[in-house]
Amino acid sequence: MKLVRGGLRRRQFEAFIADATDVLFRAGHLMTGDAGSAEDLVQETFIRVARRWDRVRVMDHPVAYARRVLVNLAVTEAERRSRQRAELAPQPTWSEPADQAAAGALSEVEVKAEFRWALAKLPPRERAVLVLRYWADLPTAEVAAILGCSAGTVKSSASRGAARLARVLPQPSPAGNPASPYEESESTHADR
Amino acid sequence: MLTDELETRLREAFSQAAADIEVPGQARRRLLSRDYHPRTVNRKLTAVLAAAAAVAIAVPLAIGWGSRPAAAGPVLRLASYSFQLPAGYQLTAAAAAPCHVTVTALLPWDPNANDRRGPPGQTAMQAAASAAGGCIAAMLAPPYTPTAAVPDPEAPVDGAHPVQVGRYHGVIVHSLTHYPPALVFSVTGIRAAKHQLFTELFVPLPAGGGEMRDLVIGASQLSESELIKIAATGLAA
Repeated sequence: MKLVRGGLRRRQFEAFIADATDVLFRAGHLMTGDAGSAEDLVQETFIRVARRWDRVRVMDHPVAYARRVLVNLAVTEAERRSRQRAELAPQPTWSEPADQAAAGALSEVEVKAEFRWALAKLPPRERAVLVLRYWADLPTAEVAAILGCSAGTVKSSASRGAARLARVLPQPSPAGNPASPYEESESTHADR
Repeated sequence: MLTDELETRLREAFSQAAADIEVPGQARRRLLSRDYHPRTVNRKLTAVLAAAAAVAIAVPLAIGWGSRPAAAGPVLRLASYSFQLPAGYQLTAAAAAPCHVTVTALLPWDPNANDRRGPPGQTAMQAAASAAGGCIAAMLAPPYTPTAAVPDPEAPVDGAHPVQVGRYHGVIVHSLTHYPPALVFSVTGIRAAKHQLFTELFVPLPAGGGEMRDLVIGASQLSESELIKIAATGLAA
């Protein structure tokens, strides 16, 4: 019986990994701007989730829990690196636009690259707020809970970060806001 | 102030940026193939192993093996005594760093009138140092005749407390040494001297003819009990 339970438990965890890898990797990449660091973050996240798997597997949204772990790992690691005066952001291989006119002339690819570059330049917690708030589409209160700060701090961080990103944001598409990658798991949040 | 329009643009930008991020094939394979699964713990087996480990520790202690240092290092010899030092120490010259600080501190608190010892490097001090900067230094002080006024000219009076060292009585004292002994002037300015906790043990031993001589053993990174064990084991042999 124990073997059966252990086998089921293992299969559930393997299914979780297969399900969560893409989402967590993207979150890690948005947080670090680097594929290698994203992979490290995902691996460390899986290790931590595995330690608590008996509790995590009964949650409504294990992937959301894992993303929470990953974002906190990313913030902690980025702040540690900042203390060592290491540069978190990858060295840009493109130049910053000289003015709005130049920015407007960038191709779509360049705009996306510019956005990722500007995102990577943000302070880690500000970046985490934006990723959680506007990519994971979490309500302010939940972002505050994840990062261990107040809702007011989340709002001010989001405002500062958005202001810094505003000049590199693509114009809204006619189709409107694309579906959130968390639409299924996070659709219960009503207090946005 | 975040406007709805700005928030919409942010959501779209994030969505597009994330959509462009693909997990590289090799990274995906590595992530999926690693074994993250927590090991299941057999609690009964763990309890049995824990009990066995407790017995393995308790039995040697009960039959007296615990009076020896936990791990064997070099042997420090003074006259006919051999002191087994902990692992991680290497015999070294008494005047060499880091032992020169310890050795200086080992010099007598109240100089013996008959003391003809030279500077630390020339005395019969023996020393051992660890890679972590620890030092154990020992010497046999010159013989003296105890008097009522000065029962032990080597041992300190203030701050010392009596201890049993095997079948001998001794005194032990903890002090703070300063190294370097004063403020240091460097290119970065003046920095404070480092403080080092120093433990020193004095054990009067019979020297014949009514005289005594002290075993003086000190260490910078050993506890009181560790130092007593080293001395007791060496004196008992």
